[in-house]
Amino acid sequence: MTNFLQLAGIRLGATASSREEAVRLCGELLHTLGAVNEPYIDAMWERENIISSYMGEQVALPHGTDASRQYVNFAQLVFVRFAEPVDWDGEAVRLCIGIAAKGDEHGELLGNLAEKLLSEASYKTLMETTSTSELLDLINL
Amino acid sequence: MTSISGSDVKKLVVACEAGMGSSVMIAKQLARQLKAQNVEVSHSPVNQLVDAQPDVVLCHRGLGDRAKQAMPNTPVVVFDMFLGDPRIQGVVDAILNGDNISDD
Repeated sequence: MTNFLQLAGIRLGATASSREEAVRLCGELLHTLGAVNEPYIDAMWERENIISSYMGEQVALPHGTDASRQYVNFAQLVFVRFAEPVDWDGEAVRLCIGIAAKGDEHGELLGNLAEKLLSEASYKTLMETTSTSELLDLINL
Repeated sequence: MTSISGSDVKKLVVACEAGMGSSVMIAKQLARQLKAQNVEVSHSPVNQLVDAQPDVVLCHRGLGDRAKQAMPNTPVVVFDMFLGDPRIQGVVDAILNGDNISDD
């Protein structure tokens, strides 16, 4: 199976003073990895303003608009965990999982991720572990 | 208000803006929960709902008006939380038990 998350896509102890900064941080990381072209970053913020990507449990899943799929080179996730909670339109976000996808290739992974967020043990790992290999194993499973 | 019996639901569509994040996540979870019920679960951008021909539409409250406008004769169930929203579970339970599903 493709590894949608790579070591270079993980940031632990990141800082962002706003929701926009947090979303752009995810976008810039996807861009640095070559997964998206630069316009995708703006599209992520555009999408965020149409409907919040806040999922619950202090987690947000920022990604681009449907139209911005043209800027995606390959499907990829980035894992950005913040040292301090980021204010997300009244909610507190500690973890952003930024997404780039052309189609549904990452669907199974997102289905698995939902189950991990709802399971106490793996949720704790996602929010607290400092081991990047543990995160890679958990997300890419 | 439109409604349908859970036992008549053959196609459930999660409406979304982009179909890249949360809606994909929810559609996958529902597909797993309804695997034995012979219900097709997919996701669709809200402006393409007509083509998806759903029996029931699920969507976030922020897209509710657009979804209802697109599908005036189909139950549109809105939810507030992507993770663990009781309304999403309610639709699953209604399909499993053959209870009524309606929008409001």
